Amino acid sequence: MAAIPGGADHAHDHGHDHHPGGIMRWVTTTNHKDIGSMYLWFSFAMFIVGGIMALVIRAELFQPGLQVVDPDRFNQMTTLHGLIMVFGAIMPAFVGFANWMIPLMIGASDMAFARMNNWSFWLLPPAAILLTTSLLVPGGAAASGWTLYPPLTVQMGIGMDMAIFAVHILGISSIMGSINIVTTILNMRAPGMTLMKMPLFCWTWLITAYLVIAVMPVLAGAVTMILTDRHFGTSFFNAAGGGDPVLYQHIFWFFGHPEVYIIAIPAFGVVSQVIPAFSRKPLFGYASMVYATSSIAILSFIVWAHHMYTVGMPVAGQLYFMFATMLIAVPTGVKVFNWVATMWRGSLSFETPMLFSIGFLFLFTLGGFSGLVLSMTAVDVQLHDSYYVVAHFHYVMVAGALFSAYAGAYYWLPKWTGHMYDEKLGKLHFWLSIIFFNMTFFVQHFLGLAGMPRRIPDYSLQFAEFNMISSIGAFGFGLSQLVFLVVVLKCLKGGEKAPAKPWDGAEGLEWTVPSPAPHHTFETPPVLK
Amino acid sequence: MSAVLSRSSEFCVVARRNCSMSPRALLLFFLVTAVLSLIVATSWALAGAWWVLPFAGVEVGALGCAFIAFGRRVGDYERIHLDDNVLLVEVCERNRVSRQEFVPSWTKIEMRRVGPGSEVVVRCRDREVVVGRYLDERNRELLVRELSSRLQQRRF
Repeated sequence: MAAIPGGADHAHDHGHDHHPGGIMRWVTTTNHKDIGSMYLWFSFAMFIVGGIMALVIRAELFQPGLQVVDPDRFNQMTTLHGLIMVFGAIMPAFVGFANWMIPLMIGASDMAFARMNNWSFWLLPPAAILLTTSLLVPGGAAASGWTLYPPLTVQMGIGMDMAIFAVHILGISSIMGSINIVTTILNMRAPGMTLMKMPLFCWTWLITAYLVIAVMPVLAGAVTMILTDRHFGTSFFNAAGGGDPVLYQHIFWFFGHPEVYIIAIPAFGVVSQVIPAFSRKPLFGYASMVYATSSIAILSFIVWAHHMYTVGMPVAGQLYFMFATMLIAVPTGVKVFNWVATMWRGSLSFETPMLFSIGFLFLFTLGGFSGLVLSMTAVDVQLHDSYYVVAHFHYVMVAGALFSAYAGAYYWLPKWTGHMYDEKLGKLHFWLSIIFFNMTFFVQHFLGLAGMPRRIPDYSLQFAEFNMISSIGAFGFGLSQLVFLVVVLKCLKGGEKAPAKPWDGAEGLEWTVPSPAPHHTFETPPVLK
Repeated sequence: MSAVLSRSSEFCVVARRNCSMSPRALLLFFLVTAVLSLIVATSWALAGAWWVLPFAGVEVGALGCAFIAFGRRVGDYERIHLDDNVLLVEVCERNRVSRQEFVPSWTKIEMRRVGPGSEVVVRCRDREVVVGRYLDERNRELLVRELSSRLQQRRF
């Protein structure tokens, strides 16, 4: 796939025309690059907020006993940490990547609905304010865990209403973003770019957007029913009124499991761009990657009750969900083997994006294996709601999604800022992150196997050493993320000028435009050979 | 994309907005999404969680509106047709077609800079129409060169 030289208009920058300056530029902007940048900054800010909450949790768990926060506040921290990281940090980060890169990758001038794009972003700050300020209202924030299980959530204070409202707003934003992405990818590809010639990042986002469209109404319905149970006398989930709290769990996880893939699949897309670039080889098995990603998305709809083995279900149901869950390992394995095969006999180099991608590959695979362990009903009954589960999903979410987001950020920073980042600092960021990440979460496998339950502020003495190691690791991990901030600020301020294509093995239309990418690109689409 | 018909006496250029999916395929995609989403929502409604259904309905409606809004632009085109007697400029935007006829011997075509970009202007006395939105810089220049020379021939 190659662009015919001169086949597209993008070398000019008329960012100055019809654009207000200062803060109003960012409030009113409809430019996909501006909006992408705002998404990325917002997600990083929320990552810091959610990270501080995680550090409060780890500070409390540094040693047995209650030292830092009372149990109520501890529960609020775990709830908000989960909600903020999932909906405020990771999802917006990948939407930021999508906004910045999809039009550049498919040769489109912008997203299909530029004004709606602006709205989808500006819905996020009010939701974030609602979530974070709920800590200040009487009764505090929601303290039920990010799953918002009733009947606890039916009984909580106004902080719960704020969380429900925030989830609604975040859901609307996600749906608007997804509709925009689907419309853009389907309709605005450059002539010659068939679906099976699209960069894999675009494919993964098309599938992700489809997942969002399919499951967001389910979440919206679930939290609305909690709201009506709380205030309008209904009893959907209130057993005292004839409702069924377990119904909520089914609905939530019907949304919640695809949500895991809504986070993971764009991460797969980023890594599928980075690994071939630094292996100097095309992605191995492109078509099988597309089919594997689609299979994962389809399977994600039929495995939700593996989160609920201990709730009580017939053996046949347990067996079904167990085997269906194990089936996901097949397409996931295809992807992992394809990434490894891409590197096989490649001319590898280990710049920061590649390091984060390899880190992703190792640790996400480890998270996948612990997921396989948990998929077995008999084992899960032992490990359910233990620190083993916490370790598992942090290997998937942090080492999976976050490491991949860093890989993408370092990979495209030269295109975004026009400057090369500081490679030494980037590598320092990677090594600190991977060491402290494993220090934080690997030991949690042992805590879980030894029987330490999750979501508790105090614990038995036998868990003290591993918790101490985990807390030290968490503070190290948190602080090492500031290195990334320094790298980005340095890159924005100046540094070595980045060429249009700073990575010699990189392929795709985004590398045909100058660095930094002009405000307007591909006003007329390029033609691909 | 453009199609060019060029004979000795006739010249025609049709430039269309780029759209990578046919309306039929888009409709199929929408139907599959809508059916899937509504099956899921109806299943939950039957299980007692009926609030999922209106949300799914609103969302499917929003997706449909988005596709329709985009679909209205799919047919946009510009057609420039020159024969011995008339230069016809036909512009279709959101299913609305406007036609302007110019006398070839009195008509000029030129590139106008707009910021760092450009547009093609067809001008006759005090009337003018802007074309070339769906062409890239190189093809705009090509259009101006080709059409200018043909208009020139009709002057003498």
